[in-house]
Amino acid sequence: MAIKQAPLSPRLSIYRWLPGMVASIAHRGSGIVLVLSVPCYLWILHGMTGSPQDFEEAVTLLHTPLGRLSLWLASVALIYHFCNGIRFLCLDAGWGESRGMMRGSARVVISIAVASAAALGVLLW
Amino acid sequence: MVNTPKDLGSAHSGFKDWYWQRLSAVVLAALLPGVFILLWSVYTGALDQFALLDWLDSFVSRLLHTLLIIALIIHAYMGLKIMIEDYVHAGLRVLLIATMLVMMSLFGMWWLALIWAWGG
Repeated sequence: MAIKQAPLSPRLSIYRWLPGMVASIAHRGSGIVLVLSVPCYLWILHGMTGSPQDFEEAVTLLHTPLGRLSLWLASVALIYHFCNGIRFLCLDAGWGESRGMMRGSARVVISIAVASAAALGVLLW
Repeated sequence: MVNTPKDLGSAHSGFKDWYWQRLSAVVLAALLPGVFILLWSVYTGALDQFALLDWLDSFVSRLLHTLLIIALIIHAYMGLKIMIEDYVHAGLRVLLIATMLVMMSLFGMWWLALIWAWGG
């Protein structure tokens, strides 16, 4: 096949680490985490809407170390993806497109994610 | 410097993908905070099962959840498809995207069945 070695676009290893680039990569990373969280959410929802015993089991499952870790990871990913998604929508609408604004807003969303990761960590443990 | 695109591209589908990605993002941004709050309320014990079902077991809630599923599948499909197109070479790409689509359809159907069935 002649086209099999067509170049793949984002060459992660040669990018300079700048806030905008980190925000973009983290958006993809958190997106993958969120896709993987959907089956877990469904499982929990299935338990919570079942019999009272099912509900108890689902809540107990959420409180196990693995449950807490999953809840923490999914929540931080959701908060980050939500904030950066709004940032992306603003950029698409033409707001804050200057280099300085893009770096500044990237720093803001990353800071929100780090702060919420710490706050939820305290809440969970 | 090109300020306006000349056309929508050869496949005419890139713009549609872009548009659906944003449209579904707006729907998800509106609906997901509610899910997040409900889940955390159950975790902290602020909501017991009866209170939770008061929120979930209604026609409006089922409609919103259905909308959530549709938006989530569109958004996740578009997002993962773009990532696969960026990082995976042509041959494997088609197989991965097809597998993803089948998995998402199955989950979507299970989820819809779950939502419209609970509470009797």
